[in-house]
Amino acid sequence: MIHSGDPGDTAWPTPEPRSVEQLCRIVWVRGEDNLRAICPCGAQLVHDDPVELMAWLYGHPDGHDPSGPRRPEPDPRMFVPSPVGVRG
Amino acid sequence: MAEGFARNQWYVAAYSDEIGEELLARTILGEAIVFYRTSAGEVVALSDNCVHRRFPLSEGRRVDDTIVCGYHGFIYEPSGVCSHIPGQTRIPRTARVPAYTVQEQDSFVWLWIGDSQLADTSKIPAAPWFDSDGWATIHDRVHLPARYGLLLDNLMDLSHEAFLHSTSIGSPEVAETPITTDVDDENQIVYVRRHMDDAECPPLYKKVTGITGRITRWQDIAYYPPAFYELHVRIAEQGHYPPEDGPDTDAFHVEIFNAMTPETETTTHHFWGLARDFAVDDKEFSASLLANNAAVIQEDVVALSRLEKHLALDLAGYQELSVNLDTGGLAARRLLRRQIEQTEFQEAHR
Repeated sequence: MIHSGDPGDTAWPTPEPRSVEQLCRIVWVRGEDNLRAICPCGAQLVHDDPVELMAWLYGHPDGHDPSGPRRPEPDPRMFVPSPVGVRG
Repeated sequence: MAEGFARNQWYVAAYSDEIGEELLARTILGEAIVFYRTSAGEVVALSDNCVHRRFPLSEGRRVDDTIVCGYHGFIYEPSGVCSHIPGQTRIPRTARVPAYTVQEQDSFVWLWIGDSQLADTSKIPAAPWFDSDGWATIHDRVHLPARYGLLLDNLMDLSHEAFLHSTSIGSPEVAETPITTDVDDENQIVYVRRHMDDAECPPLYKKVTGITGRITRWQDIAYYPPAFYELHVRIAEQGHYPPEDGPDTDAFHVEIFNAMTPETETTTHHFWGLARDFAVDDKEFSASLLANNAAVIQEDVVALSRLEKHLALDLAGYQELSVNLDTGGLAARRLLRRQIEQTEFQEAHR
């Protein structure tokens, strides 16, 4: 599957979907002004400034505590990105 | 904004159907290049500078698979080697022009700018919709008098649709719906996802889909630095989501691409197009879609060229402010900046 909105019968090569755990993720917390960054190491930080949040995210491992709150389960309705643009 | 160019990367240089027997001149990352297609169908890309007195080879003419320089008649083979100099038999060893590595894929001509030894075709972003059965496509190219970084910012933050394109593809939800940004460092991709529920159907979408009520509208961006961008769009009547299994027949799917190939430091070749999985045989519809989307792109051209002019004014003490909506754009700039730094490193250690 390219993503969950695609027709199922894709006729082109698609690599295995990449695990969410391998991605750096920044989620806009619904109903708030805050952003939540989730590092592949499991550490998370909530902040209202995307520039500072990104500096923290890519500063890994500085300030990253993987024993903190774990990554939330992804919403199954949401598209799990895969590197569709790079031929396997 | 990332300044400079990432070299040793692939860029869209042209559409496949732009390159034929005629010589095509195009400047890419400040390099003047001449393109043509050989009788065997291969695309040739050569430096557009005759080795003799630098006359543009694109001003010359094709003879069989060679180019004859229009100034003094030097003849160049598809490899870039000069095979004839009028009035003499000796061809100096240095009589050649650089030849570029090209690859045709998904109806694009991809050009490798940099050290051809490093060119790896597996790194070219795939856009299979543009060359697949079951999809109808339109595409165009505009000359943008603005740096490609401005177009990247524009595409990574689609909230501008609600304002700049309010009469065509914009609706308030595009600016109000939170986004999720994912960065795949290993494969060098930034994903930005905006899934809108119970959204207004913008005017152009009403015209295209026939939906008159509220919609579920998904925008899934994938950015492949330095200069390729895909937007996977799903539009359905409100409440219609993809089924667990089987084809998603209740929705309209549009696959949009944008290639923002730098021409110079402050000008860009903007290749854009879309593929759709509905009304695929309706050519009149395609023509209308092309005209309507071209009008949207033109709004961006006007805004970004105005911004480019504005950037030339020195504004002491100005500091850019980024907000939540910029998360995807910031992530994109970071990957691009890393590629530019990598170029600088490679060139310093050559």
